[in-house]
Amino acid sequence: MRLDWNRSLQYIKRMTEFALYVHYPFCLSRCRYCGFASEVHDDAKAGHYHRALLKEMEDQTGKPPWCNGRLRSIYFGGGTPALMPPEYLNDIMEGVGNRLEYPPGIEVTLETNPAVCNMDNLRSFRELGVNRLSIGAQSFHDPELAFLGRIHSAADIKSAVEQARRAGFDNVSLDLIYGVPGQTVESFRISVQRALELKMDHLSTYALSIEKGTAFARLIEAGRLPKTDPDFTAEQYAELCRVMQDAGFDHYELTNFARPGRQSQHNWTYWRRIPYLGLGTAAHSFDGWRRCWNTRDTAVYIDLIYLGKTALKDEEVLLPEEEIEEIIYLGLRTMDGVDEAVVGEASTPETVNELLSHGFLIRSGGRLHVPENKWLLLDEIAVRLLSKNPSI
Amino acid sequence: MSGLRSEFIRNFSIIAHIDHGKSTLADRLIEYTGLVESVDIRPQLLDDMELERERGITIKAHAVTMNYHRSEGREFVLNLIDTPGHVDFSYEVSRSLAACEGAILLVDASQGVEAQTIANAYLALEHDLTLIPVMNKIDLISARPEVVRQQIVDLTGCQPEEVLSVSAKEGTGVRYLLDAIVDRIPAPAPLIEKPLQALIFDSLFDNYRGAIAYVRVVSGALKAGMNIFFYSSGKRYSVDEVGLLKLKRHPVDRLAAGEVGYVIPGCKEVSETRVGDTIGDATAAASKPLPGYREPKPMVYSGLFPADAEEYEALRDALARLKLNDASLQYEPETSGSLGFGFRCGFLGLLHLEIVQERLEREYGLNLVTTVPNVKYRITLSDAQVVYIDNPAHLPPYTNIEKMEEPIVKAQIVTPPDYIGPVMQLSNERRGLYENTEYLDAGRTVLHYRLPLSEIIYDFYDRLKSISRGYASFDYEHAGWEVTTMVKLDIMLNGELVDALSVLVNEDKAYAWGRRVVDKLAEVIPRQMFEVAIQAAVNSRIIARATVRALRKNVLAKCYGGDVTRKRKLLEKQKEGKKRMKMMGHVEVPQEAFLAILKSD
Repeated sequence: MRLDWNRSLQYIKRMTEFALYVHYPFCLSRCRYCGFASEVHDDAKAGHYHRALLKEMEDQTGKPPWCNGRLRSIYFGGGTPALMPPEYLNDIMEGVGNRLEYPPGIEVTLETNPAVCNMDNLRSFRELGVNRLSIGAQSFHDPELAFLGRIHSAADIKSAVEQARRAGFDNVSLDLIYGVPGQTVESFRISVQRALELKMDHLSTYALSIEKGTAFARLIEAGRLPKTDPDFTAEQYAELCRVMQDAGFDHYELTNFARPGRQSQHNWTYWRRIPYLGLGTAAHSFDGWRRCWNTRDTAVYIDLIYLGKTALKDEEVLLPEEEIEEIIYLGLRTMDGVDEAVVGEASTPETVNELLSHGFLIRSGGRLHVPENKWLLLDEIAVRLLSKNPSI
Repeated sequence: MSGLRSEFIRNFSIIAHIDHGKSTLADRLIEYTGLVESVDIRPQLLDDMELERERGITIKAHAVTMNYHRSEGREFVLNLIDTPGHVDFSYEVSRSLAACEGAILLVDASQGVEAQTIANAYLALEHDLTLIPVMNKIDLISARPEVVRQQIVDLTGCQPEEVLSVSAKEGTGVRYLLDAIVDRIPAPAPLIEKPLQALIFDSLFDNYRGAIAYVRVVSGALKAGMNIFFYSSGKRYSVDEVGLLKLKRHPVDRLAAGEVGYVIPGCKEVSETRVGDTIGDATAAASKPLPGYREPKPMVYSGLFPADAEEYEALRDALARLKLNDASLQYEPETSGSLGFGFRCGFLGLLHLEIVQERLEREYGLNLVTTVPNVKYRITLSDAQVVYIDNPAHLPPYTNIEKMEEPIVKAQIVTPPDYIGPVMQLSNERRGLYENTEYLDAGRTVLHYRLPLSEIIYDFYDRLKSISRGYASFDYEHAGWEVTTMVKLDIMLNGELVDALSVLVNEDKAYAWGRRVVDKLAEVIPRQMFEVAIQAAVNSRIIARATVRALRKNVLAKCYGGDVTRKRKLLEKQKEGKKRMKMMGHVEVPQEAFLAILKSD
């Protein structure tokens, strides 16, 4: 590890605000494509996990740099954090309230699965301060949902959104997945339109990637499932962009769309490299200088925290030039793009001009962006930009 | 020891087709004469280079001196001079044979006579060597001693009872063979009183001692401290050390006529101690060199470029170091529009090219791009001037060319009769000119062909093996020049000429080559941000085309943002991957593309 204490201290002193991510790894069942840290719900284990989580929060928020900062958003991700008994969520929100300062009305998001939504828990969550609900819809076609291993139907999504509205959520996001074998451009467009009919405020999309150890990976390896086709995925993405633009959404990041004023504050922390504290299994933290992440094994996580240790799996500190590359790469994922002067530090004017002249970059107001129709080529573009290669 | 009387010396080689057990037999002779204990023996004792052991071939010649007690009690000195086992090094083979009075013609008792057996037997007879025919691997169940004995008799004209049977693996018959070496091979001529003539049959470079020549003293004596000169360069040196080769160097006072050993003349470059050259006495009256010296002559040329432009200097230094040990390697700087700075290198053959490339990559850690190898062409211009072209880029305009000639080889292809059809078809495809067929026996036929060298340097051998299920074998010797019509075939990527992919190809084959190359390139060039048009052209006329469609997606389009590390690592991996790419005509071409073009389907 490359330690630079002067830089570290600067960041610690500079820490003003940060986001909080809380991971809840339990689900009712595992989806066949899911490579996130998740496992099937178990009451006893969930209880241990909850206590560990509270302890980790206590440990982390009590010391620098987090104790110096102010919260700007909270995000409960998973897994299925909506499976949490409302008391658990209450404990966490109370803990946060007791330890950390935050202005009123900050964004507090909870991820949920349509199958676990009901008026009771939604009302409780809303009362406890959750003001944004992210519903894992994935598709509005029952056969696709079954194929993905989802435990809900298209009808469940509709009812979940309606219940959320009744429970007082005026900010609802849906997740949709594409690039799925068997899906078509048309079937995906219909899912997007069904989501729009429900008048959701925000849409996150997920291009299926085959992750190691998932049921899908095993099926592909056995030759029983075709590999994902990037061309087909790209066609679906183009259609998605078109439909969402017609619906008046901002495409504010590669994978995220929002009605004006409904961009996710929490999401932006990642792309803008604002610090975030992650708690729980596999959670990542970034203090502006160091990025670290917890173990992916929930049982190990619980043990380590109980033993009074950190659950850290690994960490990394970027060199100044790597940091600039990351600023560029993350910035180009967003509609903000990146300051041209920053690009100048990591690339050459010839390279930038070449990319501009071929329409892989656009320039406006001193910033460089990747146009929407080239976003899926971002890695290709970034590699050329950062390897200072003027030829295209 | 030294100044041994020549009547107790026997100098011999072992000649054999590849895999007929030459190195194993050498190991067994060394073991039997007590030079090493059998427990110390590692296979292929004489093959020093890691590459030689790995590939199971001898690249450099080696020599070893053994002592043998003939049954009546007399001690003889046996000098085994090993020969390289590949046609690329046939000149080196001929020099090794010139240092001997006899040769063991080793034939696998199950495989029988093969192309290299024939070529080597002829070569040995040309040098007036006494042949001791030996069947090896008689322990194998598949051995066919009667059939193979008859093949050997037909080939060499010896008597059936003169053919010895051994199993080098098990040691059977080795004693009889040693006796036969003493009894049948003549002693070297006793020329100790004549002026010094020593034939260099191999040389190598030692980091501490400089060039070391392996020599056969033909007449006179070589002594430490004496002043010598090399006939080819006329350069004079004072001898640091002479000695015998007994697995390790073993210094002695002098090497007398008939003896084999090494000499360290104190020169810094191996190019001073050239294979085939004669060492003379600098103080004696002028005498003649031994016959047969030839400048090393490359037959195959290729561009070697560092994959990373910053490694140019490292490549230059590595080539210079390799050249210290390999006088036949030639190179000069070359600049390519698409590959940047590199070297045009001349090799004895394709195996030599592969060996050099592998050594540069393995021993010097370089990452290389090798362009399609070609032969040298002799071109007569309109003004009657003759030029030699070894680089497609240097081909004069067609209008200035009066006549173009290409190197030709005489090839012997040995095959079971079942495969004559496919072998002839392959030879015809390669523009071969059939000469005649010889029947060795019911199971073996020799087809004689004249073939353009350019047609056999790529994959002829591999194709021959595959169409004959491994049974056919092949050898050749150079046979002058013949008129030909070659055209320069250019490859364009998105309309831009990529000079590194240009080749000289026979006019009649341009279409087939063009088609094959564009298809191969379309397979190996990854999809990129825009469509890539691959075109093959002759004289600016497009003769083949293929397209690589534009890439449409290359990004991790997932929602969870916290794991930025994974995204960055993915990006870094891609950045690293790009380093193995060459930008050509604005297109990224992987290094593997050059290799892929060379491989047959």
